[in-house]
Amino acid sequence: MGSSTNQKVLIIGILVLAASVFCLDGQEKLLAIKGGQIHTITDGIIENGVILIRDGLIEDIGPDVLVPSDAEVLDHSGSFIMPGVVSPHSYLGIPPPSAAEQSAVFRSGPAIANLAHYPVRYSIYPEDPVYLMALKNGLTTMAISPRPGGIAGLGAVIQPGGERLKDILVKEKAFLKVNVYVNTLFWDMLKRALDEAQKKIEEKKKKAEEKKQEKEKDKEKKKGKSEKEAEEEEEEKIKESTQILMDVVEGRLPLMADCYSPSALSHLDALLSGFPKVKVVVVGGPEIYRAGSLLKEKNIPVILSPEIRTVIRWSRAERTNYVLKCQGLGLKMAFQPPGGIQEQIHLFDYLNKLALYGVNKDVLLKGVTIVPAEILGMEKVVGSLEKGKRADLIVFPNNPLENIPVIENVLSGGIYVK
Amino acid sequence: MRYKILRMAFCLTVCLSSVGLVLEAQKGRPPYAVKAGKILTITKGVIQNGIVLVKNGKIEKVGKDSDIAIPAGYKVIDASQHWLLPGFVDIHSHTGGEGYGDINDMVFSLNPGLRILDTIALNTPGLKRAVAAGVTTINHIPGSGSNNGGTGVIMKTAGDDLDEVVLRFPGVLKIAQAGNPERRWSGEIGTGRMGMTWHLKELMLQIKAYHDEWEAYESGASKVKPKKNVKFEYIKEVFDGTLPAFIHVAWFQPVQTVFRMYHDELNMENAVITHGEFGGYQNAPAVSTRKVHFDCGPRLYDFWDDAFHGIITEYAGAGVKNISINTDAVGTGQEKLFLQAAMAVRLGIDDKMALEGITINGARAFGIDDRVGSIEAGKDADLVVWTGNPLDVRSHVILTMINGKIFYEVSRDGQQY
Repeated sequence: MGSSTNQKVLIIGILVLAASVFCLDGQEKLLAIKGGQIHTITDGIIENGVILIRDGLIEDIGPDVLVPSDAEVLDHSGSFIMPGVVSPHSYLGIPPPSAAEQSAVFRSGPAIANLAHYPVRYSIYPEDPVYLMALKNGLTTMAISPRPGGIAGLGAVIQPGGERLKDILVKEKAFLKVNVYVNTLFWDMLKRALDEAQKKIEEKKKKAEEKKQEKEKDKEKKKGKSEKEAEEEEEEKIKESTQILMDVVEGRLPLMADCYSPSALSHLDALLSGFPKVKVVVVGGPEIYRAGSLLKEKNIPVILSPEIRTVIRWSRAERTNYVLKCQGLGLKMAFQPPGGIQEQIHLFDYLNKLALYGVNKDVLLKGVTIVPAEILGMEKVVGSLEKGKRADLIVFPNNPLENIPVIENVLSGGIYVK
Repeated sequence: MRYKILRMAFCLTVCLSSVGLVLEAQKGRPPYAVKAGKILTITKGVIQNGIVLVKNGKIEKVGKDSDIAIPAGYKVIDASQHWLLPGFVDIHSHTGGEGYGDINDMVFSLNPGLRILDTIALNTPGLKRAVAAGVTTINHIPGSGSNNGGTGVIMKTAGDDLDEVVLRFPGVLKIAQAGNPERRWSGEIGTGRMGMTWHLKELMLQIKAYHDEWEAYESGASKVKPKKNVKFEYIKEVFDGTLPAFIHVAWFQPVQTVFRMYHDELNMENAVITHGEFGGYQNAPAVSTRKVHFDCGPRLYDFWDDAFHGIITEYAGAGVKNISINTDAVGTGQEKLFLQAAMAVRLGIDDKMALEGITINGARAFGIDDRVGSIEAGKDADLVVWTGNPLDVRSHVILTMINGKIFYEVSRDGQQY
């Protein structure tokens, strides 16, 4: 009797221990979230639906999802639920250039700096509180861009919440960032860099062809190991920055170009005329719509900073909001949450205001979710509420585009952060 | 000597004539009767369906529409579906000039002679943005690049000319205690905290000595006429309480230095802590027991224990009463003062405290509450018609009147914010 009680205690103890271990790791839990109005973004609105989350991913979503008995049910019925915000471009946590860097980079002309091989990930410190703050503001996935330089370097994508860089880094080569200067020295620098990449690509092609022919010629002759090694060595001789630019020229790596003014965009467009495969994404200022026909013709997505401002300063005749202008031109828009952490908290206030000005609410919600996800090549992982995607959600008490937007809860990978 | 008398006479004439001109200009303005659905007077409660009469640039009468008969000849502004509020007061702003270059002279760490007055440009977009968003009074000040950037100006955001716009000069003595001066750390004195405290204390003691000398001479206690010092001449009032010491400060220790040095040691009751974030709130209990004003912004929250904490919420919770909210424009756009207040509410204070924070509290701290900050008879006619509650981001300005003249109208100028 005594021993069986002991056994029971032991078994229960083990079970409790096991359960607590599972509970400690929130991702192991099976969560069922009941929502009032679930905005999936890609598949319409689900009224009074359920989102089933396992291991941080959406296992099922819909109006009639069966909730397993072992699932923890979180009742947000009556609430407005949307996917976590994907920030397509930011300098979050990246310090502004120090005085020393400024004198080195800026005084010698930032326009001519080619830092293509500089990976921004080395400047990301996961413990920086700005990332946790951003998370609480609903930004579950964010692109981090390097700051200064004509060719500024490689942007990364992070999903904050982890302790170490490897825990938060989801894409270390998401795009090559270029700050477009309307300036002859910048033109020269970028053109040379692209030309060199083009040359290397052609050389590589030529060599590959030659090799193919050689191979066909003497099929019997087996290649010596040393020859193969020599080949590899030759590949390594290509500079890292050129390698990256080769990826850009061939369209494997997007070119994110900060073109504050429309003139910067036409400057860049002319520069890229010999490189048709380059995939461009434009980070535009409030007057970028003036280059709208170009953006439309080349199907270039544009990243805008939402603002509460309506008026375009220079022209009385064009007094309307610039986001509205871009919408009118049918451009593909993504919205970049305000850069300063102090303003970031206002993201949904600004979107709300834009909706009042007449910007389509669907365009606004897509612009902070699926469109930026596509820009970053993350559309299979984040940006909408679909089966298999990461369980990143924001819960509002009601529609943030129709009411004072107050975030109630944020889930990142199925874990509450707020 | 003769030159001096001439110069003084000239100054006096300019001053008097400009005052005369202002009154003349305001007298010529048509009288208005503003009918509003809801009047938030700020100091005298809320009036449903009220009327405000405006004459000669001043508020003539405020009351319920059943109690006020609109006199003949008054132009009626019908805002009976809307809210009427006093123009907002932002006591920390840099929007009066044309750019950043104008506000920081950083060769010397102490610049008591510099006047921001000389850099005001009424055509600057920043001021137009202020008007379009209902901000009618700002404290336009030098930057915080040096320990003492000079003197600020309290001004309206629009007017017919500079004389009408300037509400008070000098407005404040601008001081930066820690923060920005540290950023250009180079080892020179005034960039480290020991050095800047010593430097500023020395400056304050010099001003005090100068003030006391003149006070003794003017009261007859001393027969020796002190020598004029142009650097201190118009800032000596910082020691009789009429000129506020406006102190850019943050972090725990510098905020502590501010109330210990200015309030406790130098017996000043006119020190204003502006910013006060990054742990500065831990001094809130000490601040609450002293006559020190707290002006919060543009940063409204700190982040600790994995959560956002409203800085105003912390100060108010410790008992600090007079709190204002700023934008530090152009740091945050001048138009965003209403958003700042809305955010302060979201971070834990009530609507009343937030609205007082962008109207009467700043005015009180500067002793200009007889002119601006609320809707009361006798005050300047700085009135703003809103579509609804300005603490709601969806609201916007319909009309802005400053000194009895309409400077922004949504139907004419288009909605801007």
